[in-house]
Amino acid sequence: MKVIGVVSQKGGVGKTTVALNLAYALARRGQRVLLADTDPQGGVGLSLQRLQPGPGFAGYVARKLPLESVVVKTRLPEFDVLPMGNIAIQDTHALAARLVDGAELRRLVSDAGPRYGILVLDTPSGFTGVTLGAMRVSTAVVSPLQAEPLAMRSASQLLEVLAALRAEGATLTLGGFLLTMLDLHNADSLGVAMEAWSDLPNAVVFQTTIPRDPLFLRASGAGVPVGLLSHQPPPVAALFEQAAMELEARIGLAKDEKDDGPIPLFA
Amino acid sequence: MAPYRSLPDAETLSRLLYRAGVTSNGPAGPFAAPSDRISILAAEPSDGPRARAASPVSAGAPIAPRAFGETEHGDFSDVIASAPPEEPADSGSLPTIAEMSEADLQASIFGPHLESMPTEERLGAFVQWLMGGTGAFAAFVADTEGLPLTNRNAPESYLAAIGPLGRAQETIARFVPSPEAGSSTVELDHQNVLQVIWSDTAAGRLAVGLVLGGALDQTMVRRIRKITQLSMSIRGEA
Repeated sequence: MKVIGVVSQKGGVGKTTVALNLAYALARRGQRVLLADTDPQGGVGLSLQRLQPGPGFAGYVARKLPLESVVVKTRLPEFDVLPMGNIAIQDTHALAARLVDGAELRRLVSDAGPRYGILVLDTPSGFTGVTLGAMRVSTAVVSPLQAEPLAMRSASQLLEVLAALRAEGATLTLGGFLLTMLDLHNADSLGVAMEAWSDLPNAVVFQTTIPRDPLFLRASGAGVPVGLLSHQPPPVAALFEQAAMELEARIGLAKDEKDDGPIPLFA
Repeated sequence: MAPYRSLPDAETLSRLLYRAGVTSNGPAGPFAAPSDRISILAAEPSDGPRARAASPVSAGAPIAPRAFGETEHGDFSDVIASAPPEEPADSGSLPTIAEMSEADLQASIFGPHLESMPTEERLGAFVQWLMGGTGAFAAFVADTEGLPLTNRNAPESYLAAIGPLGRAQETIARFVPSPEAGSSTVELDHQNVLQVIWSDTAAGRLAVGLVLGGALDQTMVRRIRKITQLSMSIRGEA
């Protein structure tokens, strides 16, 4: 099983949106995906429509509930969600303390391994304890890079953290920076994207970019991935399918990389 | 070059990409030894501010494991009842802080080595003191865009609120001028508030955010602002 940590130094960059839509797109492509929310504030749970309160990940950690009893099934058989569950803000500190060393997350990886091909971890912003715990168990990390001033500061920070974790012996890799909230008509936004494309190796920047689009707000308001906004998904939903394809190639999950040649157009 | 450029120079970036495992070929020449930033990832400090390594990672001060989930029923409410969110620091009860001289307060937070402490370490000590001294559940220091310099337990939505709050604060200051940078309080639920204390420091305007049971009084706000300025005013080893 591949574990994908979705991480960012900065808050409000679209991390939960990326985690949710990327996980959904991976499942749509046939991967067996579990999206787990490690943010004690439960960003994923807040983002989803009609998600009934339940013990969630907090219950899995605190009460040692079996994984299958805390995951929530979706309309896609390949896609399950593990929301944070109900937790009072007073308890977030205690929960975070339990996640810092990665032991509980390793248990999650171990339990999820037989059932899923990909575990996507949504994390709190900043490289604090919980996020470091998630990174320690991750195969690769994907970092949304908000195409706005200051974004590149967080890119440098992530590279520093990756270097430090690898010096510790971790084997995780950088799945890539995914430019989000890109506004091609705004010079500042475009400037950030240009800097990312010119200064960072191609291998670490997704070719796919996620635009600043009100449809994401609509999807967030409706509590669904953009691909479920209607029976005819908007074009931006395809961007996450594209990002999912890129990610599969980056982490070695592409189903068949052999070039099977041109396929005849006519039957 | 864009004014907001913040990637390091090409050679430094090349080394960083190599150390991060992104590239397989490092730059020519000997690589710098791994910095002390690594140690913070390896283990939580055992004692005192000097035990913390400097790091943008900001794993923060040690989080004392509570009896979380280990009560008879494994219920969160049991935990709240049995363990307060943060033990007050030895020197940090509210009346004492309000009465302490600035020099004593500074020494109680940073110890005797303030001038040689890296900025990240100073901020880490500051946030640890904030949580112990105010009973906050979460505390952070962020810039005006909500980019955290250090953060303990604050969810990203609170950090994302810093930008709009800061802009509102500037607008308000036009109508109601104040010699200080101001503060804002947001009600989170029936019990808790997010209090944001703005400070103009040598590194620009910064926000100190606290999630706690009730807003701090003006004396505490001014003290926290002063310590924030102090944390950023001295060039440390970082």
